[in-house]
Amino acid sequence: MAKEILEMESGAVQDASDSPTGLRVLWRELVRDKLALGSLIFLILLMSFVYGISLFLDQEEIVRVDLFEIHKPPSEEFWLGTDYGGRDVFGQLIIGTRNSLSIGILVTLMTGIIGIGVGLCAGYFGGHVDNVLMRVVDFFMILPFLMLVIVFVALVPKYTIVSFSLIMTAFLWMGKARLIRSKALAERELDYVQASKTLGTSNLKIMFGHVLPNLSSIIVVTMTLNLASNIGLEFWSVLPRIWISRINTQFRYLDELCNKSTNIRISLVDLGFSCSTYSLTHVKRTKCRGSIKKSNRCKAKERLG
Amino acid sequence: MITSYTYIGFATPLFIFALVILWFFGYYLGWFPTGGSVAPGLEPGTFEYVMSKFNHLILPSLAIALISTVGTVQYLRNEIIDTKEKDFILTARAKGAPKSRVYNRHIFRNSLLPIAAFIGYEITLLISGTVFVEKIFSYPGMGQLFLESILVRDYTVVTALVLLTGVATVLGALLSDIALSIVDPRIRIK
Repeated sequence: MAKEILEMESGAVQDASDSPTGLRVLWRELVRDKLALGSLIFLILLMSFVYGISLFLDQEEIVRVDLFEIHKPPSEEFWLGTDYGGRDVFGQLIIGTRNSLSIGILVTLMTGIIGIGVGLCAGYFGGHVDNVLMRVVDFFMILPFLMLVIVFVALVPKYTIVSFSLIMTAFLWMGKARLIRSKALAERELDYVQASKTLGTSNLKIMFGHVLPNLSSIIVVTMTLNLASNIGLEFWSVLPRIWISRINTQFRYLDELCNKSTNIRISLVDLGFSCSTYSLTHVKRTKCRGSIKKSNRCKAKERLG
Repeated sequence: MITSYTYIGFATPLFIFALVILWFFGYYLGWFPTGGSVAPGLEPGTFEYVMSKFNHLILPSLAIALISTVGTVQYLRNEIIDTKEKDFILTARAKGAPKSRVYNRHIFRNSLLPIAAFIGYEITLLISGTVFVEKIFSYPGMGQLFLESILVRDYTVVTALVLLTGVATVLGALLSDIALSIVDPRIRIK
């Protein structure tokens, strides 16, 4: 902790002297933080591996039930063996991870955009705008998530990654909006916002140019926290028993875990899970530090100029 | 250490974690019961009954608590790092305020905002229940009641539960708005 602060301070001093661009700050932080660099590389490798291999896999082939191949141990044909339906576990793992990652990233991005937009507007303008927007948020929060997801999954006949992410986004952006609004409410009372307003800066510019960078740390935390939970999100779809090969394969294996027979598979998925989220936080945290410095620099410039 | 705890807790899905502690404490060590909310055959109202209830509560609540504190820790940690760089902390230190005072009064107070924004929401979650944890520990709670009443088309129960969670959500939102203006008096919500 103390070392980190020292590092941050030395970084800040360097910043003031030569003032490099935000990207260069980010890169330097990343190289210095070995763990973050390692996890970023791991993440890139994992993603390219998963997305690359899934190009060569035929989903129909993998999910086909073959009664002669039930519970086979790992072999050359089936790298991780087969499950109770004689399906290749490795292929399911790859396709499942790909779908999970896509959905997680997509949902996080979309909820982030909506949540930041709504929260920033409500917090910055306050008063009536805040009232109206927050009542909309309240309305969405009251809706029972579980039931609506079941309804939507039953309504949409053939749902893809995109439509599924859209459904999830519609019911998951409220928390972010509330959080960002709370911080924006505090931020708008600060002097620099008032000064900017007095100088005649347009609202849009203050909102996105000045207030948003100062909320960056909170945005980064909520995005990473959400990404972690969103990657495991799509097992909601298993509720109405609609089955496309997904990472919730592991959900099915949970009973086998209790039998202590095939936990290798689980730990593999879980390792992928934890490592990816772990590394993501690290990368994001570094990014966060970079952007904080950047925003501080912006503020300093403003004060001077 | 705390950071690594948050990262691990952050990376583990709740249901996996719940299963692991169920297996470890409930099955392997046998310290706690693995399901239900009370041991069978006990007279309601007796001391053993209450203790058995309590004993059944420990594992599920531990699972939920350990995973859901992660978010709070992360928010607070990031806010504190953020606040620490601000000028008024430097001023407070320069004035000669002791470190503990700076931390407790200046930094902590200013970092509470995101937590205040969520405190009402957390209370709502307490009332509406958690489906997965209840399912894994086979604990008869709100979440499981909700799921089951949807599955058997018991609309009256569903309506009642939706109403209850709705009221809880609105009250939670109100509570966190109040908490916001207590934590940061500059915020004025009309």
